[in-house]
Order: sequence, then C-alpha cells, then structure tokens
Amino acid sequence: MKRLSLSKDEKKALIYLLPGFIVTALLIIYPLYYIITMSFSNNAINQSGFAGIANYTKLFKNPQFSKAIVNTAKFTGFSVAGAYVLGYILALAINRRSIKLKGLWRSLIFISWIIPGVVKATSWKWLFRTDGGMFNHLLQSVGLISSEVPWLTSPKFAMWAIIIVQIWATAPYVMLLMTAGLQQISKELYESADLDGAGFLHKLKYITLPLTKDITFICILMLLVWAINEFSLIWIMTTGGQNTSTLSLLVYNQFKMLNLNMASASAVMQLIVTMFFAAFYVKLTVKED
Amino acid sequence: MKKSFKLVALILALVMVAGSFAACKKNDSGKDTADKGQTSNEQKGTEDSKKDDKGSATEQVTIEWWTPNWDEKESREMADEFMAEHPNIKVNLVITEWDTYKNKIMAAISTNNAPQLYTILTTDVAQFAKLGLLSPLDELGAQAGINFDDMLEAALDIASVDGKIYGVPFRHDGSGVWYNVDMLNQVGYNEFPKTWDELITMCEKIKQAGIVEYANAWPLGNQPNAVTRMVQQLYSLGGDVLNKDETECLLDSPEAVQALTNIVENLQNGYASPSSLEMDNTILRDTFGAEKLAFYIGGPFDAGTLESEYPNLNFASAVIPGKDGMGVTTSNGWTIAMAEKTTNKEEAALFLQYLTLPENQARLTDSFPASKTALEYEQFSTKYLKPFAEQLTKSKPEPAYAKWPEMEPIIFNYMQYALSGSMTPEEACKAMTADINAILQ
Repeated sequence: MKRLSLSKDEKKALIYLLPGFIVTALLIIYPLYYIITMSFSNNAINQSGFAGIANYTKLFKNPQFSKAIVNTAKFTGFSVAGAYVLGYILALAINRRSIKLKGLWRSLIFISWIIPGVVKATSWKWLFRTDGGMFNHLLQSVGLISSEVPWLTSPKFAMWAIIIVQIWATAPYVMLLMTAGLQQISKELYESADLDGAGFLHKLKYITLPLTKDITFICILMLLVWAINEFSLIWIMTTGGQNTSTLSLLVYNQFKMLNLNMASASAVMQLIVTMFFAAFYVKLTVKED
Repeated sequence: MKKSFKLVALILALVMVAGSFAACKKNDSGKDTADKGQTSNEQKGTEDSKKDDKGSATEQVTIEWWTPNWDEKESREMADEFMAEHPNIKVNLVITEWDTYKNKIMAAISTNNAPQLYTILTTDVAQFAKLGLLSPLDELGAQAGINFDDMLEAALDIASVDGKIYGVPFRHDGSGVWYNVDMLNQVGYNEFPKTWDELITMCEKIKQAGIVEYANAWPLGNQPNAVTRMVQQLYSLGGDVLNKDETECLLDSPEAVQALTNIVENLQNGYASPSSLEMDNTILRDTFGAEKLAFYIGGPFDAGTLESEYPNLNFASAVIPGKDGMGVTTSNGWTIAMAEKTTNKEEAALFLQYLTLPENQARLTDSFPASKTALEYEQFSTKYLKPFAEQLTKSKPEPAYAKWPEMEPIIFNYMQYALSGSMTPEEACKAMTADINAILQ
C-alpha cells in the first residue's frame, strides 16, 4: 500500500488549511451529521433513541411526499430550462455589436435578480391577483385572454405562475455569466465562420454553445440547487396551496408540527434529490466531453 | 521588528481571549443585564443587584416574556407595574408576530435554559406539552396565587393535558357574524337570518336588488382562516374532523361534504366574492368596512377596528346561522405558558399570576377574557359583543390534534380544488380523508 507522504511545504500548508476546515466542519459537516442522526431518531425534542428507518418509512407512506417530489421536479425542470434559455437569449442579444448602452440594459435586467426574495414574491402576488391584478389586465389589454385567469387561486395555473416568477428572477444570473463567457470567445472564430458562410444557428451550434459549456455547467448546477431549495417564493405566493407544495415546504410543515425527526428525514431526502439532479447533470456533461 | 510584532499580536490575542471569557462568565450567571434582540423594559442602571422590599441586598432575577405585538402596549405597562412592585425581578419582553411567533417560540422553548413565559394560542398548548416542553402549573401556579377556579372551564380544558394545567388562558373567543344594517334593511331584514337556508335566501335578495356586488366573502386565501370556516360549517352540521381516538378521518362524511358544498355553492352562485380565494380575515374585514359586502363571519376583536376606522358604517353583530338555528363556532384563545427547561420558575409564576389577574386579563383582550370575574365587566357586554358571548354557548374548541399542523395544509389544498371547480366537494372530501388517514397510520 502506498503511504501518503507529504513534502515539508505541504505539511506547512495543512496548518494554514486548518481554520478553513474547522469553519467548514462547524457550518456544514456538523449540521449535516446532526440532521442525518435526527432522521434516524425517535420523534421528540427531549427524547432520542435509534428509530431505524421508521421516519423514512412514514415519509414514503405520506401521500404529500410523492406530491412534493412531483411538484419539485416540475418546478425545478421548467424553471431551470426557462431561466437558462431566457438568460442565454438575453446574453446573446446584449452581446450583439449593434446594441448600444449595454451596461444600462444589463443593469436593468439584473434588477430582478438583486431584488430581495420576499419583495419579489409579494410584488408578483399582487400582479397575479385575479381581481384587479396587473398581469390579467395586461393580457386582457393585448387580447390574449378574454376573462380573468385565476393565476394563484387555481391548481391549474398556480405552479406555472410561480415558475414564471422563478424564471424572471434567475434568468439575469444566467445572462450575466453567459455574457462573461461570450466575451471570452475570440472574434476571429466568428470571422472565420462568416468567411465560410456559416449562419447564426451554425455559429451558435459549433462555436458559441461548445465554448460556453463550462459556464453553462456552473449556471445549470446553481439553478438546480436554487430551484430545489426555493421556499420563500412558493410560501409567500401560495403557502404551498393549489398543489404547489415542494420538498422545502414539506420540511417546513414537518418542522412546524415539532416533528423534527420527520423534518430531518424530509431534509435528507431533499439533499438526495439535489445530489441526484447534480450527479445526473455532471455525468451527462462528462459523457459529452 | 519581527519579534516585537509577534509580541503585539500575542498580547492582542490574549486580550481577546480574556474578553471572551469575561463575556461568557457574565452570561453564564443567568442574571445578566445584557440586552437581548428585541427585549425591552431595559433596566434603568446596570447594577446586578438591588435591594428588595425589605431593604436587604438580594441578587436581581431576570425573567423573559414572549408576547405578541398586538398586546405590546399593555404588556409593557404591566411589566413596568410588576417590576415596580417587585424590584428584585426584572422582566424582559420579546415581541412576537402572528406569522412567525410559533416557529420562534418553538426554537426558543426547545433549548436548555429557555426563556420563561410565552403567549401562545390555547390550542398550541397540548402540542408543546406533549413534547415535554411546558411546565405543569397546577402546583407552581397555585403557590403563586393563580386562581384556576376563576377560569372558564372550556378554556382551561384546552390548556390541560392528562389532567394537568400547562397554561393560564387569558382570552377565549369564537366567531360570529358582522353585518351591514342598512344593506339588510334595504332587502327587508331587521335582523340577521337565523338559519343557513334563510341566509341563502337573503343572499339571493341582495344579489337581485343589486345593492352591492357580492353579499359576502370568505377568507379562503389564508390556510388557517379558510380551514377554520370549513370546520365551523362542519361542526354546525354535527360532523367532526377525526374520530374520538384520533385514528380515523371523518371528512368524507355527508356532513363534511355538505360543509364544503355550502362554501363552494356560496361562491359559485355568485353570492360570495370570487376574491375570497385571495382574502384573509384582515382583508375581509376591510372589504366589509368599505361597504363592499353585506356581511361576513369574523371575530369579536373586529369591533374596535370597525368602529374606529369606519365611523360612518352602520353595522351590527349576530350569531352564525346553522342548519336549524344557531350554528356552532370554533373557539380558541390565548394562553401564557411556562417553559419546562428554564430557570427562575417561581419568579415567572409570580409574574404570570399578575398578568392573569381579572383586571389584567380585561386589559389584554379586545374580545373576551378567560376569567369569569373579568367576563362580568361592563366592557364585555356591549351591543357588539353580546351575540359573540351568546355564540360561545354553542362552541367547540378549534382542532388541536397532534397531527393538525400536517392535516391543515391537506384540507386547505383540497378545499382549493373544490373551490376552483377541479374537483367536486365529494371528490375533494374523499381525497383529503384518504391523505389524512395515510398520515394518521
């Protein structure tokens, strides 16, 4: 067996790494260990004891759990795809030579990203009001709808309304990263492509998309994690009603009834779902490479 | 140069460590004078000890009371009065808010050396007590002079678990009807209908007369408000949410289907405003105040706001119409409970005794106190409050089942399916029953 041997400099480096490791351990590793332990314990704040997989069994039997998984998948899938596509289009548009005042446009678009989550959710809740909401008024004015749509008060529309807001809120992040990525691509490549007679779609497919792959990876990974863990937006807009309850809200509801062990089990499941999405995406990306 | 820098760094580090120890030592005593978050009633001066009534030097004891923002003014006054009488006890207040109070209290009360007193919903007492988070108050309270015999049995029952009292209720009330006298007069009503059928007839007349766009509205945009209204309908029809041993959901009963149907049809027939789906109790009250509704079901605490904010509104109150007469309201209230894992319990019990004296209960409530003595005060027999007092004679406590926090979102969710027309009331009731039964197992 090969023995791990460290050079003098490496040993010295370990000491400098120690504070960072301690902080990480305190803030991430210990809470994670605590939650996992709780998820296998009996339910009660004052009592503890090994409960085996009882909390998980209860969780899987709970019909709200399967609904939360479906809702989380729907919310995550559509909001990530929507934010990525919209953000990318915005980045491509702003990166065009013909566009003037690029900084101004970028700043304006970025407002939706920097507004605090609670403000975003509350504002959109008002915009989506059935009676007198601006969204319905706008759609009626341009003739897209004939009668008011109950955006947040019908199970048919509520999830879509929340997805729209999540896309609106996160697309600027994609735009910002993609703009940085697009600016890194050498103009000569596009000039060569132009000389070869390549059109916009060809350039996008063979130059832009492959060369922004690394940034795309980070973007989508972040969007995935944010979407799976999103709480305030859904809570404020629907409190999980109208079939919009996701895993985050399930954890909160368990916590609200002082069922900390079930809440921990739900949180562990949420972590597993996040890791599943992330691992699937990483594998997909590596395979393409 | 290098050596002197190291020396300075070492001295600075030692000073910081010494400072941390000093701070820890001060906090560990549990009798600190430090400010905590939103605490108030700060002690004038910073001395750790004061002379008591007899003039002997005793250490000052600090207790903390978590009280809601709507009681803040009275809470501060009472804490000041109590501290003036008991100079050896310092009372810190932490002000809570409706939306977050339960989560914050839950986090605080679960810790060792928790703050002492908490104002919580009476129906929350059982949930906290069953987890061993509350102190039984039978002996401790009696020693401090709390007169439990003066408390309304209905309120004290909700605050008790297995025969032990875990909280002292100071407010106990239920819902009733607020109606616009002028609007009802216009359609020939001098008083509010007594039965649900008569109510529907009146709604139709209001609709036909076109006095107002919608006769009433419901607080269906808010989970607890919406579910409470359905449960009130259910109780009025003689149904219940769970069986006695809480092992089976009864929401697929004909009574439950009818309860949900009453609300759904009220909306679908155009009597209730479609905006009900986005309303909570506060918006509902304001909509009624703005004379956009002829009536609504609300609490007795709305009387003050309706009087002060809508001086031209000619309104009155009535009992909730039921199937064959007065319906059933859910009742609940507010209680002050003490943490189990806390210190200075005797001092906290003394303060609790002071807070729940009849005259202080009367100060802390806009509806009804839980003290029988205070209930006799003139302020609780106004023309507005009388029907609410009558309604309390036909009331049942709000559901306080161990799994209620998990059940409530399920009921709310399926109510919305029925209200939006995605399910019939029968389908919604069957589905909510199946889901609730799954979590009860």
